[in-house]
Amino acid sequence: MQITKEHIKMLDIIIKISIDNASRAFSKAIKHGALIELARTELVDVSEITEEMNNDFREMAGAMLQLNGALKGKLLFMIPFDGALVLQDYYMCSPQGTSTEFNEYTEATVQEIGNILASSIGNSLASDFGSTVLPTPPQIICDFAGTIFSSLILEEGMIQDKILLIEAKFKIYHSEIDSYFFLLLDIDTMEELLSKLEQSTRGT
Amino acid sequence: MRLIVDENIVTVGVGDLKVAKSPKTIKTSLGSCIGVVLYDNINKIGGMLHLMLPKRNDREGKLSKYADTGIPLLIDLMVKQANANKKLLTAKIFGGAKMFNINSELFDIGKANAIETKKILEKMNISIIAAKTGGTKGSQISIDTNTGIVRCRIFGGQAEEY
Amino acid sequence: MKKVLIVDDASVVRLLIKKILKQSDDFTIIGEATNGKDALIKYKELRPDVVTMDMIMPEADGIQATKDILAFDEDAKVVIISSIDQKEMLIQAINAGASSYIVKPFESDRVISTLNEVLNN
Repeated sequence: MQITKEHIKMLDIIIKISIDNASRAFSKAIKHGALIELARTELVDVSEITEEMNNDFREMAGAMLQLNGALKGKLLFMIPFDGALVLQDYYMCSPQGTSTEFNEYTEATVQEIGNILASSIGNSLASDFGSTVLPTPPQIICDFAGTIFSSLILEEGMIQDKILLIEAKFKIYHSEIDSYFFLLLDIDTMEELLSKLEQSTRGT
Repeated sequence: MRLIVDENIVTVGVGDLKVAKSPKTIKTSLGSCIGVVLYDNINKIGGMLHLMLPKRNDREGKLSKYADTGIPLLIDLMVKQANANKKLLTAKIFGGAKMFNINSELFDIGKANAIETKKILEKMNISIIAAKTGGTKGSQISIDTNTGIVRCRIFGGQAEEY
Repeated sequence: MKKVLIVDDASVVRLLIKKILKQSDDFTIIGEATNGKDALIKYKELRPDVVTMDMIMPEADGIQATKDILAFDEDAKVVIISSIDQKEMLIQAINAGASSYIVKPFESDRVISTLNEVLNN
């Protein structure tokens, strides 16, 4: 199936709604505003998108997991180390500045936020399609931003030069902390999804 | 992501390659991929290939993704487009780490990439004068085309010069 | 004081639930587990009054752990605390014998009130 601009547009609308829900869940988890600065669905060139990522030399903590069920995909939530400490304090309702050293609790915070975001997306998509979409337990990776991102897209990038990437950036209110969210949908399940969407739009 | 806008810095993406002359710096971040850095020290021309897989076989992907097609392509570009002297080219290789794979597959693509890279460079008669491959963490490399020195920083460690 | 066993693979979630329960004089935390398999072992060892159970965990998930605990002790009270909010999973939780279900991210009051409700039934 050829993925057309129309397909991407349809997917973008559905995904934006689920990212909206995810940002609400994120805000609720940290009891603090998490605003969506960017949310897009795009067919990107693997080399170009990773060139952009490789420009960022920051050290990051990433929670990577899979979505399984009616929709399959891979998901990454990534935040710079100093941002993870801010997140940890918000999550634990501790005064900002309490967490000063990146430790297992900081990793676990990133893991849990990744889980909440993934579940929120899964809940949204499951509701849209009347089926089940479940995340796997997140794995934590601490490494350079470009390296973590490459791990996400590597398998798809080996097969294709272009990938359909969903990207969102969250800014934590009243801070300089940006965090990044990426979703890579499995091509086969995405084709099924797009067919269902096409059928339902033809039916209306 | 945070974009560093500097005309003298050239960044290489996954499965891509770049060639630049002094005074530019070429850089990339590596995981299981191998970064092949070639340098002509007289003409001060550098090239960097960020390869993902050892062999192209029947695949249709772009040549720079693979060691067996990407390395000859890099040499070709350096010689034909940048006028590098092939006989002067030396190689330094980095990356090839055993990274976390969400599918938990046990094959070590980093190791396979390193083996094929060395094989191809040998076949092309280019000496490897420095190598820092393996491990389980990512690395950031950059070549200063003015000196040919490559700075490599493995995650969790200090930058070292090669 | 009612004895609580907290089950979640994320240490920070266990820490947060502990922090919330410490605010109330009704509860004492007697143990923690990081996966469904460990949850059953700890349940048998510690015999809590109530278990808070995550759903998505490595080794054995919360649904399986709930079934196993209820098979061991039909009076066990398990409250699922999960970020999954999907009809099929809610049905599975009920069928597994869960006493209640809290969706993450949760409010502190909700955790305390739900545990009290479950224990008073």
